[in-house]
Amino acid sequence: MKRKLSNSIILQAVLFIALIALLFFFFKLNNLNSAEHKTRVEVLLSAERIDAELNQAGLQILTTSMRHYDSLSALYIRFDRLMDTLKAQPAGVFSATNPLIMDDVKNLVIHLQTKLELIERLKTQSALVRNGLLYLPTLSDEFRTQPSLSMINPNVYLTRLMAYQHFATDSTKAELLHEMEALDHWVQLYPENELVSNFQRHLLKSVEGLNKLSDIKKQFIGIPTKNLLESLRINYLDYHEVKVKERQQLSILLLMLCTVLIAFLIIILRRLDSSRIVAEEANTLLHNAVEKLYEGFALYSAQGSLRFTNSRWLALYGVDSMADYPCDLDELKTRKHDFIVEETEVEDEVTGLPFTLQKTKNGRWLQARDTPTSDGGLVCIRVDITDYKRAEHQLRKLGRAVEQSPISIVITDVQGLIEYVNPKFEEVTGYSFEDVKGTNPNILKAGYTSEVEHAALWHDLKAGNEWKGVFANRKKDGTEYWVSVTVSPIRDEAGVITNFVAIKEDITQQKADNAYLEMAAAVLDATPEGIMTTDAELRVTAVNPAFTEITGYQESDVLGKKPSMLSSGKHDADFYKKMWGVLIEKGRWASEVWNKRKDGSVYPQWLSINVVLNDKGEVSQYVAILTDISERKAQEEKIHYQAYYDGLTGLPNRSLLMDRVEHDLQIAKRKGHQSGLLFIDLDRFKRVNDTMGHEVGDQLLQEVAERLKIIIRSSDTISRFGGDEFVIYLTDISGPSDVAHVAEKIVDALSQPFDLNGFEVFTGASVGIALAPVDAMRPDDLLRLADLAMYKAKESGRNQYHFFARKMQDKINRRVMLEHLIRKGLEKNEFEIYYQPIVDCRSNTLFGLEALARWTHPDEGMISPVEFIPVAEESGLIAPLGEWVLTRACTDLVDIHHHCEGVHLSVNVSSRQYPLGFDAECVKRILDDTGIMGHDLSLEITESILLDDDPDILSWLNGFRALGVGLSIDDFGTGYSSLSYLKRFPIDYLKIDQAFVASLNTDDDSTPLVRAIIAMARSLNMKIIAEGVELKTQLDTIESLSCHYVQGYYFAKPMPKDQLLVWMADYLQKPSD
Amino acid sequence: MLKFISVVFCFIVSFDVLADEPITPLVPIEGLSPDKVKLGQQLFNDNRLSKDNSISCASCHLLSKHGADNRTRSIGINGSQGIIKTPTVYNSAFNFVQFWDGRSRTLNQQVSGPIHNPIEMGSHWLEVIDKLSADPAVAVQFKTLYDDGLTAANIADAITTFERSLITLNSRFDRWLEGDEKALSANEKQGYQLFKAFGCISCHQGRNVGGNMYAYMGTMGGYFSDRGQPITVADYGRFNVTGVEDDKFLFKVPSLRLVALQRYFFHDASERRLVSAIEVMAKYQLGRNINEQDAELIAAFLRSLVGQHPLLEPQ
Repeated sequence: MKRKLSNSIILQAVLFIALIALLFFFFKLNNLNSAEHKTRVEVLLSAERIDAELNQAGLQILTTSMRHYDSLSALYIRFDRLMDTLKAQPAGVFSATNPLIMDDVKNLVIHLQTKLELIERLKTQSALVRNGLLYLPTLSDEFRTQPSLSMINPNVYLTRLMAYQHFATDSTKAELLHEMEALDHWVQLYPENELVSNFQRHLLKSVEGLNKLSDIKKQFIGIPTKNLLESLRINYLDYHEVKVKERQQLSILLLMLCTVLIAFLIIILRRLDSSRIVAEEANTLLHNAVEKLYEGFALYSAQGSLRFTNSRWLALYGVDSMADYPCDLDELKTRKHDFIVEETEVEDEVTGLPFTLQKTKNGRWLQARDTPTSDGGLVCIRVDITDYKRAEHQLRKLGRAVEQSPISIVITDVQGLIEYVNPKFEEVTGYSFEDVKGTNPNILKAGYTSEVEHAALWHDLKAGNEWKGVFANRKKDGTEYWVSVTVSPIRDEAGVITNFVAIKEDITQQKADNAYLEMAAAVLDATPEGIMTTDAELRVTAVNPAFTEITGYQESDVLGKKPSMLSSGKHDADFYKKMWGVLIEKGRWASEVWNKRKDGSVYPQWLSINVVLNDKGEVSQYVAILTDISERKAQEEKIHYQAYYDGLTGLPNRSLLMDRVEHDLQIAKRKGHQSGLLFIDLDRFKRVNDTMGHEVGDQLLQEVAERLKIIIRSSDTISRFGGDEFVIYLTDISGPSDVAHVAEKIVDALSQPFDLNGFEVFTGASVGIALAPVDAMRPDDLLRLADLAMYKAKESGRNQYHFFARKMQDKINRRVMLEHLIRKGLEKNEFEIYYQPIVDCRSNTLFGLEALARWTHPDEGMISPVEFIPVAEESGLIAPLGEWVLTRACTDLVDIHHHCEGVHLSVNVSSRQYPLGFDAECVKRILDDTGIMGHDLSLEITESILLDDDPDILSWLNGFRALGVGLSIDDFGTGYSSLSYLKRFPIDYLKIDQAFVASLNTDDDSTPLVRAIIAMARSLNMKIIAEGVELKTQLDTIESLSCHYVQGYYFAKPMPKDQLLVWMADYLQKPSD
Repeated sequence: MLKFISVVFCFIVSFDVLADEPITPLVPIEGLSPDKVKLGQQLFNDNRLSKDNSISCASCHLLSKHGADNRTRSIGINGSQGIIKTPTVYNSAFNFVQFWDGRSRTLNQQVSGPIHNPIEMGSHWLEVIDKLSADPAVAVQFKTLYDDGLTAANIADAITTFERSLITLNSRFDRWLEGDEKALSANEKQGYQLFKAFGCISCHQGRNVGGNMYAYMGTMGGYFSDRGQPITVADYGRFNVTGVEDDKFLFKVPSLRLVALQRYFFHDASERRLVSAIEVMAKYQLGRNINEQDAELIAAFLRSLVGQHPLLEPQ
């Protein structure tokens, strides 16, 4: 075993190492990248190509066969690219090869760069030489034009130069230099002659140039790029060949390794196969042996899985096939109850060994022994002991019957001596078995049985007959009891009497029960609760005297009848249906029920019904107990009333109110309705109470309650809250105005005089209002806020109502305050007028001014006209305010006219001023007072005033026209923009509302609408003024629509007169462009 | 089909003709992303590329003029003066190297030069990127055009892309090259012949009429001694880059495409007249004196080299 184990470990280690080696070789093989090789070969080829092209370029330059050098640019770009691939440290793409190659690369880079530099020098130098050679013949021609120089033959020099150029050998050079010395001679001879010196200079330059060119050429040719490339190629290919060989070796190694591994695997597989065959044979033998066992057998492995079992095992557990039986111990544990219903640890009576007694699901009893095996497994053996258990059980059952019998049993021998008594006997008589064993049953005798009777008993018994009779017996403690006895003889298989069995039934209780029944009947008669019993079919079987007293029915009236005859008819079928439901389910039912007496009167009773079941669980009878509760009901109602209602006024009191409010607010939370709570306090109640006495006070409260009741709806709650306070709760209102309406009615009703004992009494009330859910959602809060509001109402002068509602109240309060402030403001001259210029943008001149009221309050600061104009209109203060504005603006206009003549004034008139008496007469007076001409003024009205099409309005407006005053429609387009009515009114100007102007050139462009307005207005002979122009783009659009009068921030904002004059001065000076 | 063949034929024929001339017509660079060109133009004009937000590329490279300013030396931040005349940015894409001394092989490398030069823009990439990142509009443009957004490489790329679009096309000379005989006057044609005959063409050739090789300033000697001004560092030219003695006074041959529009000539801006400049070149580069009439004819030819570009003021 141990040897085998170590063998397998060695094998595993070998396989593991082989695998690692395999991977190592595989990756090494992969490292030999062929793509890299390809790149390098390509670079090599490209380097060779470029080198060749450089050589070619050098040659072309030298032979001046290149017309221009642009074509070199492309070569240079490729050259740069090649350098990049080679120059990256340490040797570009050839890095990580071998030092030989890397050296070659470095040298190649240096030499190639040198080559490129030399090409540049070639270019420079060859241009120089070329130009020299080009010019020298021209110069030489010039010699002919100078006869004095006929001695000199310039062609000699040219020839030598040519020779040197084409065959740059030492001899040609020497010849050239020789001639040059001669020339030098001539130069010295003709020092003044420029041609000679120039010729010499150019000749020298050419020679110098040729020398340099020749040097460069030598250098160029001497660059060993070709050899380097050759060497690099050979070195690299050698290197590559080595790598390829390495790769082949690796491949072979890999192949060998794989072969060895596969061979190993085959050997292992074969070994495994032969072991498996041996194991299978042994297994089959064992199986057959076990299968033949009579006992159930099972073998579990150390891991707890079921290795095998025999068919007897499965049969014992009532399983048809292996598949249905748990395959391991764990599963068996969870499914144990599918097979075993009972299990007990038992010790074998014979051997003393422990075993387990199992009861299987199919009713077998098994003796189970589980023994662990040496390798940690478990051998289980089951022996069927069902038959034995069954016999044992039968005996135990019979014995138990005797033991547990509720009847005393005594067994005697044929002499009558006691052999056995059962526990009931011991219990009844007080004698233990030990006490009576071997004695005669006579010890129980009470002495009432005669000797004759006794002799007859024995005679019967000995004749083999059964005997029955009643005895009085005496217990050990001396008490007597009555028994009914049956004595029978027991015979053996041969029919010989061996024993007597006496069965004694205690009948003392029966006798006592009879006495109890008599007593119960007496109680039934005496109880004050009516009792009625019926049979299962609901026929009345008995009633007691109290029943008769409560219902008026005699027993004879109801016996055999149905209880429904008592029904008052106050309860519907549903009520009885429910009652029967409870009765059937629970066996009893109780409730308050209205029933009818014999005399027809209906009365409340507490009715309790019990169902009596017989032994079989069927209904045998119903018992109904009824109590008259009419008296108690009356009491309860009175208590409830006192708890929830005010004794004086009969109105709900505080508790009931709060209940109802709470309840309503719960509903409101779900349904979302609004409710209002009004807190009413009588203003002068205390005085009435003090001066006229409490009785009159009480009377007043009652009267108040009556008046309040008339005002509210039935769904609302009115409550006396205590003292002189009442609370009204209005539910499901549509809004604050509803509550205000009710509050008004209350204030009104309670301010009417009350007639009390012939006196007329005035009280009046203050009402505070709080709303749910706006103000509060809890009853207490609501009440508190309403109370608070009530105090505010009282503070502000009684006989009033006051909302708590913050926003509404704030607004109202603000409005009231503003009205007050406007009045004061007018008195204190706090208002002022701002003017906004209206410009004629055709001529860039000032056309007119719109007068706008502004108000700065000393404490409140600037108050917007948007806020104070509506208040002024509602309060009528618009009349003095409007008149003041007009007067003041006209006065200012006189001054403005000094600076700019003919400026037009535009003043707003509210439609509310019409009924308040503002008319042409008024305007005329102001014009006269200030000296302004009518045509200098126009009045701005809103289009809403025209909508009524009222002839009075028409004549009102015509009155202004008669003074020469113009009329303009302000904010045109915001109302019901119908131009049709404009025709009927004498309108001069239309002011396009700034909202239209603002939306010009925007997404919702109003341009078409404005265009339409302008077109129609023009057809009606009206002028157009655009308001609120702020941007240049808006101005452009407005102008493009032929609207020329423009007002807005683009030109100027409204400003006080002083600032206006400054602005005007500035604006009027500007040249129009 | 016939039409197509004839077009191809014409092309081949004209190409053959062109191939004979040492100067070839300018052609637009294809495949430039219009969005990147636009972004590059915006950056080209962006003052934030300089330390004190005072100058942009366009401050010295006036695109409406000849792609450079009309100063002898350009003015950098804090009024500092450059050491060499600003070369034109037009057609610079066709130069084989950038700067007078060829210290940048490509336009891309060139962009960093002025930005970092303390007497030009005096800034550095981190600062520029910081400033531009603060401008969401710029950042978004980079995000949409480049995967890695706003980086030095991408700024350079955008500017370069724009610069590559700065090709002055359709010059009268190019039209003549392409077969339009009437595009040049007789004088201009004569000027071109002189240009070639004198040997100017040896250095000023190719589509850019220069810009593809190095040459010594004053090949025939005497230029710097006759100039009368002391030698400056800038005068050493390519020597400043290589340190090789032979490279002293060696400069990139400048393109003559827009030379006719310049107010100053040569790297040291020592000449103010085109004709004089031609004479100076003949004297010191070719070692010959040419008469004014010939110089005027060559000047006429040089004027015909000026092409068109939407940003360049029409001539």
